[in-house]
Amino acid sequence: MSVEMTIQWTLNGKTLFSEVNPFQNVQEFLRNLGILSVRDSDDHAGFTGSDAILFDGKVVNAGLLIAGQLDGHSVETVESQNRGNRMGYLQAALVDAGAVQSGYNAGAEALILKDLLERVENPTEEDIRDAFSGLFVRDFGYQPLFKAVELALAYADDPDYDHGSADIEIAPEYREDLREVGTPRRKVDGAQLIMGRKAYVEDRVEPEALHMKLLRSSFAHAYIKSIDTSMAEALPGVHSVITYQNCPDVYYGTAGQGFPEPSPYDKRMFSRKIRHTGDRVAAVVAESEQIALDALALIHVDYEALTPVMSIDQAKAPGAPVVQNGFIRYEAGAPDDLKQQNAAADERDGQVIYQFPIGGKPHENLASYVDGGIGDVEMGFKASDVVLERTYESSQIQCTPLETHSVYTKMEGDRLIIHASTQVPWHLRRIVARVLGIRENKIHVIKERIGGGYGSKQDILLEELAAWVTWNTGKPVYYKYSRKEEFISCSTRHVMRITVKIGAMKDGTMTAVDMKVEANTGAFGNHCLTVPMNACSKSLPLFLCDHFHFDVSTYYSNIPPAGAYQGYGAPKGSYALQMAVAELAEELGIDPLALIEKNRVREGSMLEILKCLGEGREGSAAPVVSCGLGPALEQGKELIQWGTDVESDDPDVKIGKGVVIIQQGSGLPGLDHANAEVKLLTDGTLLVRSGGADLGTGLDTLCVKVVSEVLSVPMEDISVVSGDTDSTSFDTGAYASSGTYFSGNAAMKAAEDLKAMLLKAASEMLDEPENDLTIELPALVRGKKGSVSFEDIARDSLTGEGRGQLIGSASYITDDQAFPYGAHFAQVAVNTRTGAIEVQKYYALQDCGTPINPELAQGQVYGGVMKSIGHTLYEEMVFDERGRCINTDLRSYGVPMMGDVPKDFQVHLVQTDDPFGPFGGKSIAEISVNGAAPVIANAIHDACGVWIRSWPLTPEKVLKGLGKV
Amino acid sequence: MSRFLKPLTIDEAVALKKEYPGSLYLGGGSELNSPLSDAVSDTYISLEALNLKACVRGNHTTILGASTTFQELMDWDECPDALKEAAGFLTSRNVRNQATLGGNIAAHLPDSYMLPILMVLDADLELGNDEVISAVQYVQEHRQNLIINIRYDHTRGKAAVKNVLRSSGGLSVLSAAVCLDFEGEKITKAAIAVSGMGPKVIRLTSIEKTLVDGSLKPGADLEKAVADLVDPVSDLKGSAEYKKYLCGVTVQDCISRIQEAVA
Repeated sequence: MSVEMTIQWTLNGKTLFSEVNPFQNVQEFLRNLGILSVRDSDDHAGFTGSDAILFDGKVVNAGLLIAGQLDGHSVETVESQNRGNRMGYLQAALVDAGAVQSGYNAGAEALILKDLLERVENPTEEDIRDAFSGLFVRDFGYQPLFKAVELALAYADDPDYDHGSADIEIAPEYREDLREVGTPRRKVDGAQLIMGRKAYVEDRVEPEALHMKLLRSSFAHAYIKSIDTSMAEALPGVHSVITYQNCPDVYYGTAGQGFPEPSPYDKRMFSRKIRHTGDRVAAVVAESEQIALDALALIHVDYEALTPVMSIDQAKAPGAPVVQNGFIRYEAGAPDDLKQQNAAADERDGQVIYQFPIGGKPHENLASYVDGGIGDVEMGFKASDVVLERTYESSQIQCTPLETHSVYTKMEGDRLIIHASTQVPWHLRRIVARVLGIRENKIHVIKERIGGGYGSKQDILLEELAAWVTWNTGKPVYYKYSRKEEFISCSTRHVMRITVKIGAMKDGTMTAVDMKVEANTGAFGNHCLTVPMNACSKSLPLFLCDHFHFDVSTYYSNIPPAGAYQGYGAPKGSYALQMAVAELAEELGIDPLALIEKNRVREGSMLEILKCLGEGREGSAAPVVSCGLGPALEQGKELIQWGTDVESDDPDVKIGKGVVIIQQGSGLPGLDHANAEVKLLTDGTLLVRSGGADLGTGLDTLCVKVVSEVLSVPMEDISVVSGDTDSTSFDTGAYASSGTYFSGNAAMKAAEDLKAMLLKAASEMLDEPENDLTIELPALVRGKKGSVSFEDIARDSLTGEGRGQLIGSASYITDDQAFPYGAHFAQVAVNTRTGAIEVQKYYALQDCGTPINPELAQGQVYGGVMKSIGHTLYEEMVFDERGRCINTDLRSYGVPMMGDVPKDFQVHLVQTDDPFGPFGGKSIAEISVNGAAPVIANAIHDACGVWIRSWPLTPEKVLKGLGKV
Repeated sequence: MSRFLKPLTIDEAVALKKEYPGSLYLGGGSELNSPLSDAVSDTYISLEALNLKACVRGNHTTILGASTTFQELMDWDECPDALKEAAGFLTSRNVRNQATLGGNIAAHLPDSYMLPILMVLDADLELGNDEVISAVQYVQEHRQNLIINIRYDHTRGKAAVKNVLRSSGGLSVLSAAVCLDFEGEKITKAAIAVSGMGPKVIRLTSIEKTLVDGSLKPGADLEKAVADLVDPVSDLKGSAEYKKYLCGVTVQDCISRIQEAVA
C-alpha cells in the first residue's frame, strides 16, 4: 500500500493537480491519462527511448521516472506538437524524411528533434548523433534522421510547410515517366503514427479487458510431474488459469506460412514436456496485470529435470536426449519406417505432425533434412586447380521489434475479434481456428499498425492463447510480451554452422560448390526447413557454376525457439559463401572483386540450381530477367576507391576494404498469393482494400501510388484499408519480401480492372468507343467529343438505374521470379592493439527494380544494414550451462545505436526495369541484411590478415587471430 | 506502507534515512527506478528540494554538487576534459539528462563510468553526516551515506580516461582512468583506477607505486604488469584473458595520452 500524494505539474502546457501513487511509473501514468505516444519498449529499462518526454524541457525517459518526481515540473509529449488535425513541422519533417516507418517511437523522435533545435541553431553531424544517442531504431537505420533535421530547419521558416515545399532532395527520383511511383511522397500512415493517435494493439485495449501473464519454465528440458493452481485460482480477481491439463488437445505450428506448411505441428498450447527456458507452463487471466503476476507466484510446479540439448553437436550425438519425443504422424507421405520411428515415443511429449515429408526424424532430434544439387561436384572438384573448405558459424540473434508482441481479443456478437500485431492476418486466422476448433467465419483479425516485426510477427506466439480464453469466457483479454519474453519465447534466427567446399581454376573460374548447412531450430520446428534452405537458395544462385551440391540438416534442441527473421537464412548463407569466395580469391591470388565479377550471375542467366531449391515443393529453374549487379559493382568500386590502400595516422590501426554481392527473392512465386480491390466511391475518390500487411515498410503507400498511377487519381484522393480479414481479401502476408511484388501487383491489377470498368461506363456515358478514351489526371475520362469525371461516373453508376458500384478486383499469383540484387562495400579500421573494429564506410548499392518509395526503400536498406552490423559485431544470445539466456535486455544483448552508424553510410538504389514487378518494382525488404557480415569480415581480413569465421566478429577474436590473447 | 519523502534540508534527509531503515535516497532515478536495479525499498527520500547542483571551480578545489546530472556536468563551461569525457561514456543523452553524479557513485555500479576518474583525482565526498571521506573509501566500504558534494584538487596532475564498450549503447567491458603528475619526465604521482575487473572499481595501487619509484616504466612492461595484476572473470563481455590484456593496453593508452598532452 502506498500513500497517495497530490502533485502540481504541467502537462503539455496545462497545469494539473493530480492525486497519484508516487511510485507509479510515469510512462504508465501518462498512458492512463490518455497520452498514447509515450510507449514502452524495454519494460522501463531506459534503453530504447520510446518513452522519451521533455521534462522541464530536457529529454528523459518517462519509464525511469516515478510519479512523485513530477511534482513541480513540466512534461511535454509529442501531442503538444500537433496542429489540430495537422502535423507540426517537426513531425512533418520526420515523416517526409523517411524517419517514420513502423513508428512506434516516432513521438520520441519528434521530441528529441525539438530539444536539439532549441539547443543548437544549426546542428552538426555530431550534435545530431548526440541528440538521438538514446533512441533505439531498428527499422530505418538512423540515417534518415540527418535528413529530417535538414527538412525541419527548412520547414521552421515556412508556415505552409508540406511535403515538397522545401528545396531539399529527400531522395533521388526515378522514373520521370511516372507521376508518383519512383518519387518520394508522404507515407500515408505517417501522421497517424507520429501524432500519438491510436494505431497499435495496445491503443485498442478497453478498460474492461482482462490481463494475461504467463508462468514460464526456468528449466530448459523437463517434464511437469505435477502442477497445483488451486491457490492461484482462489486469488480474488483471477478469472482463468490455463495449463496442459485444461487447454485444447490440438497440435499446431506457430509458423505463419502458406497451407500446407512445410513445418511440423509439434506444439500444443501447453505441454507436459518443457522444451526451453521460457517455455509455457501456465497462463493466468486476471482483472489486473498485478493480480495476474501475483497469481503466477502461487502456482506450484514439480518438475522432472532432463539433460538439456543446446548445440548442434549435442543434438546429433548418438543417444542424445530427445527434444520432441512425441508420436510422429504424417498427413501425407508417411515413411515406411514410421512405426519403427514411433516405437520409443513418450506420450508426455505429445505429437509431431508433418503435413508432408521434409526429411525429419524427430526422435533423432532431426527436424528436417534436404539435399540436392546440379551437375557432379566431385567431378568439379577433381577438375579444380584449387579446392578450399571452410566452416563458418553464426549465433542466435533476436528480431527486437520496438513493439513487443501483443494481442487484444474480444467478442462482438458471436464473433471473435483479434486485434493483432501480425505480419500474417490470414494465417493467424487459420491457426487460431484450428486451435479453437471453430470455423474461420467466426473470427475477425484486425492487423493494427505494427511497431516492427522483422519476421518474428510471422509466427503465432500468443494470439491463439488469448483467443481461446476469450472464446471460452466471452471476456476481452490483453496480453503483451515483456522484453525478456521477446528473448526467451519468441522467434529468433537459427544458429547455423555452414561448411563450404569450393573449387576453382587458376583463372578464377568456379568449378564446384558444396554447401553443408547445419541449423539449430530450438524447441520447435517452425520454419525448420525453409529458413536453413534459404541459406542456400539465396546465396548459391549468385554464382554461375555447373556443379552445385547442398545439404541442409536442422536439429531440435533446447534453446529458445528459432524461426523467421528478416532475410530468413540468407544472411548466414551469404556470410559463409561470400567469405569462402574471398578466401578462395586470396588462395588464387586474385582480387576478390575480380573473382566475383568473373563468376557472378547476370541478366539472361538461367538459374538451374533453383530446380532443387523449392520451399517445401518442387522448384523450377528461373531466368534472371533483371539484374543490377553490373552497375552496382561499378558504382561501388568508384565510391570506395577499390584497389587504393588507405593508411591510418595511428600505426596500430590498419584499414581494409571488402566487397560482396547479395540477392533475395520477391515473394515466393508459385506459393504466394495476394488480392486487392479498388472501390470507386460516390464522389469519384477511391478506396483501396489490400490484403497486404504493411508492417511499417510503406506497403500501403506503395498500393496508393500504383493505383494513383494507373487511374490518374491524386494520392490524397485515395485511401487504403489493409490486412483486415473482414474488409479485405486473402493475402499470404508480409514475409519473404513479398509486399511490393505480390500485394503491389494485386493493387495494380485491381486498379487496371477498375480502369476497364471506368472506360466501359464512360463509353456508355459519352457515347464513344472505349478505344477513343483515355484516363487523365485528375480522375477523369477524356474522349474525342468530351470528358466525364470519375465523380460523374460514380453518381451515374449508383442511381436506381445505374450499373452498380464499380469495384475493381484482382487476385495475383505468378510463377515469374523477380530477384533483387545488391553489392555492398565496406571500409573497416582495425586497431591491432585493442582489437577494436570500426566500420568507417559502408556503401550499399541496391537493385530493387523501380524504387517505388525511394526514401522508404533507402530507409529499409539503412535499417537492414544496421541490423546486420549489429548481428555481425555485437548481438548474440548467450546461455549459461543450464540453458538460460543470460542477456535478455537490449543493452546486454547489444543492439546498434546511433553511435554505431558508420561515419560514411550511403545507400544507392540502382534502377533496373523488371518486367514482372509493379511498374518494374522488385523487393527491398530483406536483401540488405545479407551483406554486412561477409563484407565486414572480408574487410577485417584485408586490414589485418585475420579471417573471423564465427559471429559475432569481436575485438577478442581479432586479438586471438593476431596471437595477442 | 510505502513512502515518498521530500526533505527540505540535508539534516532532515539524513534524519529520515535513520528513521526509515532500508530507505533509499532518490536522485535522478535512472538507477533506482530501473527494473534492472537490485535496489528495492518502500521508502524513497527525494533529494530534489536539497538542490545539490552547484558546480564551482576555485583556485585549487573543484566542487561538484552531487545532484548534478551527467549532462549538466558536460555542459558546464569549466568542466575538465577528462570528467567531461567520462560523463560522455554514458552514451544516451536521455539518461545523461537524468543520471546524477551522486547517484552514480552511491549505486556502487561495477561498471561505473564516473568512479574511476573521481578515484584517480583523489576526490573526496562530503557526506550528509558531515563526514568527508575519499571516493575510494566510499566504494571500499560500500557506503550508503548521502553524498552532498564531490571535491578534488584540480591543480594536481593530469588525467585521462578510456572506456571500452561492446557497442555504443552496450555493456562496458572496462573503464580506466589515470592521473599522473610529473617533475620533468619523472612521474611523481600516479593514480590508476579501473572498472570491469570485478564487482567494484579498483585502484591499482601497486602499479602506481612502481611507476612513481621508477621500477616500472610506461610501455609494454606496464601493460603486462597491469594484465598480471587484475583478476577478472569470463562473462558475456569477454574472456578473463581478453579482459586482462585489454586492461593493460587501456591503462597504457591513458598514460600515453597524458604523456602526449604534457609533452
